[in-house]
Amino acid sequence: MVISAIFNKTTESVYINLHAEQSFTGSFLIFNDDIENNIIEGVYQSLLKEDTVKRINDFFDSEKKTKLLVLDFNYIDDIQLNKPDLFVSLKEKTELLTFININKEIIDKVGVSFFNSPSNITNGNIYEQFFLTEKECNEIQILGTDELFENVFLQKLIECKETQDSGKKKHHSSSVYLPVFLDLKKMMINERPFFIYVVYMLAMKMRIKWEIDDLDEQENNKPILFCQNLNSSYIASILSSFLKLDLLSMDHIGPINKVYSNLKNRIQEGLNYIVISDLVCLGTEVKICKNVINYSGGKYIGNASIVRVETLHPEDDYSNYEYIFKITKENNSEIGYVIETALMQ
Amino acid sequence: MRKKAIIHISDLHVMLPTFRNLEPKKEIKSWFNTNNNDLDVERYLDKFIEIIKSTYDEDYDFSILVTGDITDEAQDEEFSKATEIINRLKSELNVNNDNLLIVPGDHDVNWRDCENAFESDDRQKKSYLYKEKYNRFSNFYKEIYETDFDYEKVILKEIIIENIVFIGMNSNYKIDFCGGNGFIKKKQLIEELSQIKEKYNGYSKIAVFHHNITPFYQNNTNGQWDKDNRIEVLEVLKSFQFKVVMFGNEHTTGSKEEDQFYYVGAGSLGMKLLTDKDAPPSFKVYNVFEDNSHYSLEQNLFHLINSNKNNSTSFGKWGIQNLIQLDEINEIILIQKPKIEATETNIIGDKEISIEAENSKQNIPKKENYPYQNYLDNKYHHKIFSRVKELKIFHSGHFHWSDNSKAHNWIEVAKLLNDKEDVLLCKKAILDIVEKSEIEFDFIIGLGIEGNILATRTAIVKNKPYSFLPYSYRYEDHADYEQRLSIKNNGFEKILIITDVVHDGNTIRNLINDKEPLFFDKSKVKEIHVISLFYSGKDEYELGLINMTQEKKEKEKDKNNLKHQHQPIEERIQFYFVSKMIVETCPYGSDFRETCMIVKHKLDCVHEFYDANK
Repeated sequence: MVISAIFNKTTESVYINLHAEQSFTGSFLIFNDDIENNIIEGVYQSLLKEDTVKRINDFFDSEKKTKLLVLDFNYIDDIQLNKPDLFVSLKEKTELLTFININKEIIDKVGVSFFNSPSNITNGNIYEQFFLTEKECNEIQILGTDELFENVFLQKLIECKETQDSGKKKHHSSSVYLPVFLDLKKMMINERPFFIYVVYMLAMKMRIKWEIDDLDEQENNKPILFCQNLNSSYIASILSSFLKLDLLSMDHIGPINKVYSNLKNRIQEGLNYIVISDLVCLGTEVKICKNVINYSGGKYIGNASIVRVETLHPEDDYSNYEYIFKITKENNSEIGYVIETALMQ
Repeated sequence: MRKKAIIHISDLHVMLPTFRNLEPKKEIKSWFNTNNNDLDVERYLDKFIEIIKSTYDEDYDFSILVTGDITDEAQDEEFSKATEIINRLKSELNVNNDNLLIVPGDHDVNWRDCENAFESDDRQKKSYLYKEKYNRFSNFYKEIYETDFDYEKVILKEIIIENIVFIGMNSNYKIDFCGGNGFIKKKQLIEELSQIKEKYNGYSKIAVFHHNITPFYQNNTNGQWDKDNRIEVLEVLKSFQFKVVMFGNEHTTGSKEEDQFYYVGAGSLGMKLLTDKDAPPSFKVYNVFEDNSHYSLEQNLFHLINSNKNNSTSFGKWGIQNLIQLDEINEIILIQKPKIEATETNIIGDKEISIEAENSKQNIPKKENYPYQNYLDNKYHHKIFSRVKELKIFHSGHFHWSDNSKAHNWIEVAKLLNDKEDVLLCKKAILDIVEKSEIEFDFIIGLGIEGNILATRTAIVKNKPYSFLPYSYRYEDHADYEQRLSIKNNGFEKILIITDVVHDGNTIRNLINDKEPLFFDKSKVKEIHVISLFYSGKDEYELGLINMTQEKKEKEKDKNNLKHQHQPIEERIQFYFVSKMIVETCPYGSDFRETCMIVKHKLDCVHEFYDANK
């Protein structure tokens, strides 16, 4: 399985995020039967290892040969490779293999520095584009990876759209009607590898937003991922592996809360909590979680979600959050997300 | 052929008639005391021997179990008198040391010797570790058996009666001069039982110790046993195929069966009935019984009844009690023999009878390659079990998941899934079962929030289609979209379900039959594998045991347990688990709101995991 493979039909190209793949290997695929050693690499590894490259190779064994295969080395500082011909093997699975955001030392280690395409673009020690060919490639357009990801995400989000019949329109937690429902669970189930990549992207954003790298575990600074329903627990479970953070799940802020009030508070005083959500609409559930956390002595430091609906103008929104995709006025024409009240009906 | 009777006596509390300052006690609470001038002591023993001999004729061979608290303060004079009593019983009832099993109780531990040793050693080690506490009991033991008492061992002695072995154990490990609860070191118990496992292969095993590992009188769930250790010891015993535990300590007799495991207490032979809170002196006799259907011990309970008649002794008379009226069981079934059916094959002129065992007719799936036949072999079990103890997440109290699903314990798995290293450990444990059992599957379902968290690693590593659902009894607490699998079954034949706890398999069967019948339709799904982090039931674990088979339904109907009668037969499920922690189920049925005092009168906190109003 390769999680970050994004296919672009127009240019017949495939883009792969190597740091995402290495994080995936290091978080899930490393075999470790030592019960005392339960530490994984998460997203903090910047060394690309052989088993990741091999996995990508194996993936393309079953795929049709593409015109262009782009490997993004962003966040990869070094490479550990006993078999450099793995890249040669990859090269044979596409018409043109291209590296982007790769430092020169890695180029040397991979042993491809002799390729000297005039279309290569450098920026200091980094190749922004490195084509594994001697030829000119000016006609080749390397797409912006962020934009590419966003377009793909939007398409998959639209596939999750459901028009609700009149009986189902009421939102399950806020007092509004939602004629259109975005069933993110569908994306989780039907686009499994891609969704894991989505969670990786969220992890990287959270890493920056809350400066997780700089936090000291010994001083109990690292935030705890708080989830309170099935969708968010799925996301939080994967995030916990990527970010190497603790979890706290509360099974719906509903009747089970009666248990927690009697059996010692699970929210620890003074510790930081990030509420994980699949989709934030009006933020009702996030607010409830925030209140539960703060009231119990913890510190709510923000919310991380896959999708966020922009219900306030940015200048009016003081919430502390991170997201993968925001439904805005600009992109909503394709999604058609609507929030209704009785006043409008 | 000679018949066998096993006499179970306990808590004689042979006591001094004076306090330590030699002041006479106003009231001597036991019928056995060291005053040689007290004729009642001999008369009491006479009457005891008399009732045995008059009830059981000369065709009987006797064995005697003495489950502790033989003395009251573990004083030399008390042990001396106890020796006389035991020797007299041996002589009168023709019992030799091969048929006599004595285990010490906490009152047989000399508290002053223990404290003195502790202080004179400058408290160098834990107070209960001083062997001096057993010095006087050791002398008594040697006097009786002519062999040394090994205070370091758990298993003290075994006696064999036909195909039954009674294994005497020392539950006083943690008793010191402040008292304490019953405790047996788990690791040592496993080691010692492993050493004798081969020797007693094929025997019905009965564990005999002093402390009551379940209450018949006390209002708690642990009896007088260390809360955590109790679960460990019961698990170990069941894993070594013990069927029964026999004990004393509580001066109230009792017996019960829970999922084919028996708890039997003999009460006290010595303590007098002085107040209305006391139970009358008692003892039990078990007769070995065998017929075509089963091999068992028939239980007989003797109580002392004081009729206050002017021509009777001061202590009254012994009489056999009606066990049913006292909520006790008549019979301890050790072996249920398979029913045999004769079938005829038609041959002209002659009839041939062929016999086949009923078991072969059942379609319970058998997994050949299941590596953890004994979950104690699973290193993940030990690690996770120790984390449960460290985090103190095995709770006692009153927990309700539905009107029909109630228990006195709860494993707070969500708390085990907080620390990232524990989360990974548990996820690896699940994956370990999948890989070692070579489970093949097409689709995975994570059940509940905890099941969803546990299942992610397996789903990713195995790269199989995955979805998640709420627990079947919590559907109404979840939004519509959470109740859907979001995928149709277009060819998934083998389904893997991952969840945190399985108790009796009901939640799984409800999921299959009520919540997702289309997905699990029998024409599509051939195999269902369920892996749970914990198995909390009491069944001696067999693969497929908690399926809903016709046999199970009939067994439950015989016991008047009608809870599952409405469920369809379901034999596709194979259950696996990482760790076992028995949860005590609530004995009250669906009428608990009227019959359970605690609920009815709100005497204690009841934790509801569902909205009881709905």
